[in-house]
Amino acid sequence: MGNCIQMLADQVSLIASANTWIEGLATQQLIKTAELSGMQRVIGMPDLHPGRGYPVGAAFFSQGVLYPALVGSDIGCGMALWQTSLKHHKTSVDKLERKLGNQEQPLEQHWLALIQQRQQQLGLQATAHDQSLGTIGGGNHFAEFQQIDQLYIPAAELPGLDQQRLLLLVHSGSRGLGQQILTSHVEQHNHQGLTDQQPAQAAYRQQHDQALRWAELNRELIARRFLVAIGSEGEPLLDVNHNLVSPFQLHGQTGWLHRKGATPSDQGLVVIPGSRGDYSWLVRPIANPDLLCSLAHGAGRKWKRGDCRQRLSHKYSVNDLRYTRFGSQVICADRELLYDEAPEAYKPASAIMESLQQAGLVEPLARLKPVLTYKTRGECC
Amino acid sequence: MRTSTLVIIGNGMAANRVLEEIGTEHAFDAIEVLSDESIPHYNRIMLSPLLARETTLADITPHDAQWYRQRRIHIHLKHPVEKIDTDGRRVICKSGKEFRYDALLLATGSRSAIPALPGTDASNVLGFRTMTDVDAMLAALPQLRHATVIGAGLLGVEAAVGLRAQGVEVTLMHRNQVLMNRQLDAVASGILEAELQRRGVDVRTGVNPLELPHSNGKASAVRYSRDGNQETLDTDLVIFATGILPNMELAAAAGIDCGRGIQVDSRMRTSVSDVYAIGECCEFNGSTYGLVAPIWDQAKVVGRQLQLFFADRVCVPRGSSLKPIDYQEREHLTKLKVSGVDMHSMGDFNATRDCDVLELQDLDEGIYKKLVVRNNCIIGVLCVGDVADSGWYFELLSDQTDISPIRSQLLFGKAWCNGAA
Repeated sequence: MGNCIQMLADQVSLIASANTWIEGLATQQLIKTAELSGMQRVIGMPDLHPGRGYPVGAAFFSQGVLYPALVGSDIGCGMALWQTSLKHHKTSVDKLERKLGNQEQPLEQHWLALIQQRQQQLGLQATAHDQSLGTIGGGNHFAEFQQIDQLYIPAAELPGLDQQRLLLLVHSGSRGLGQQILTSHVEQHNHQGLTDQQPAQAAYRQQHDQALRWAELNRELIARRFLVAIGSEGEPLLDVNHNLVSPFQLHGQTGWLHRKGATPSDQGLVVIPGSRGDYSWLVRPIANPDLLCSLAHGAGRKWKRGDCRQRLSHKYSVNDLRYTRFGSQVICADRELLYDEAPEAYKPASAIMESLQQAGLVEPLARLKPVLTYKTRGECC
Repeated sequence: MRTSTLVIIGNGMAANRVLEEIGTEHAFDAIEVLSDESIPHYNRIMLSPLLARETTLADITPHDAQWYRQRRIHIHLKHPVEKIDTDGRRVICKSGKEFRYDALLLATGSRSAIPALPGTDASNVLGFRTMTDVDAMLAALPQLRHATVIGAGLLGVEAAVGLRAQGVEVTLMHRNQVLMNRQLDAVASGILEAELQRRGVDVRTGVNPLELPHSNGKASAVRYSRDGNQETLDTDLVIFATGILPNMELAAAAGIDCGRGIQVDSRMRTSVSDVYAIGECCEFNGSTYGLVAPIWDQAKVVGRQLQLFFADRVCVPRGSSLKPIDYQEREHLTKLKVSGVDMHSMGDFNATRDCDVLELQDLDEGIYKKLVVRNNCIIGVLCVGDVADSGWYFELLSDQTDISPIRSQLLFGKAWCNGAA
């Protein structure tokens, strides 16, 4: 297992090597969550950071009760990786940026046939939020064109991946739908959990599952609209949710595994992204039930949102942040967000990967570097 | 000897203005205009009065056959284009007919952005951009009990007013709390909303449309959410005025650089030589266009480019002083008259950072004047009801005049300030 699993308390462990910095408040929140009724085991990931009451970057296993507030509002937030047909050495970043325009408007009428077909295939009912389908949203969501920077295994062993062509990584979730589901729960039950006996639990799980499918469809539509905009074909490679609750068995005991910013390690290949100016990694997870079959979902914030502009504006202008050390560009017309997303506001992705590797949880397959990141054009809709 | 041909795809406001600019003395042997509409060029801005039956199609059709003949212009109606072959320098129509070009001008305009909501595919769900839309509305009038306009931008408000004037019950829905939020602030919107209600238009803001339920193969209602509740409104006609999108698909398919629109430089040139783009289909420095004033500027640029088109191919007469014009974006005074209310706006009229706001309100009279001032210069103007001084404010804004000497009098207008001086 390695020496980087720290026991913080009975039932609470943290996957982090000795030189991974974890904020004190986050650890406190982690330990506090273990005190929730029915909670059996809590594992913090290397990207652990404080959230609203509960930490982000952690997995929580409970029995007999589940906690919607732990899953949070962005139910089904996750990552989708697509292979595009654009050869990266033939593509100029500037040209790519100019082709993209504004991708935040509601999808046009001619998408309806595809949307309805996919809704039917996914068993998705229509919702009041469907005009948001195909839109990225705010916060740490993004759509990023990436390039394979280093392969750790022979290219032939990576099916579907073409080293010459750009990849597209989409990070988004269930937008207003997940938000509405949580708000509705909190209005009725506050932050309390829902026991297995309560009908409200089955009702929540049904809505939660719909939100997961919605988020998956959303990521697919985001990818498709970006491909159309740049004039490229594309194929989906993987799609994984990292905010969700699922049934789980731990040592023969059945219960509920909540993942809050924690990538499942029992669903095939996954991407661990860095910040907008950092590498991402494509990895083969090694599922470890004792560690709740979960991994970090990203680099983990170092600084709170809203704190970053004052810390960085003397050092970096808006223009400095639009261009990363990789020569990639960040499309983000929202100044505050641009600073919030600066690489400095996050921990280095390499440190996260180091902890995961030391803990024997991942086999790195490829290192990816950003080419163009789309966050927002900042225009009113 | 081969003839020289200018081909124009599109026959709207931008194309027509270019034709007016180049006059009768242009150097092309022929100008072929390919239109997907079935009627000659008409003034699209007058579609609203047309809908309100305040004018006729004949009255808004500016040019007759002779005018086109004098300019060696051939208009091809009902000739939608299938594709553009930039290597072969030809345009292929859906009918199979081909047109070779020496110069090509893309003036394909924009279309109504109708969102992917269930039920939008019906014959009684329309945009509001073309004569076809207006014809459909006028044809539906006799049986029309109720119409819903979704989107209270300029076009949506005009559609609502036009239909209401015909005696139709109209509901105007808007996502935002502020109507025409690109041209108005909350106060001005309030004046407009009061006027709309006085005319009997049912205004609903904060609306998120969800679905258009059908009955007998047509949209029969609008289901929407508002304040967290879902409601259903029965209706006979739905008009989407929820934004416009540049028609750039033909250009993109032909390999011409596109982003938000067909990308052009300051001479309105696209990425392919001898191909130009203008108007609502184009994108310049990241901007796209939806109002007419910038397009008049663009037409001057294109007109000059076409006048000079053969300059390096043939001898230019000695002493010729014609130079290319570079398109430059500039502040325009947006002058609107909606529902009988004059509304003029320009600049950053919603600014608050480091600004002072000078306001004059007489809401009973429907009068509202707002000047946003930063560093003693006017940076934003909004005039509703009393627009007599909007031109003067526009000059002060454009010239960035220091208004500190007259700051306390500004709102009373030019005559007052000059009298006081």
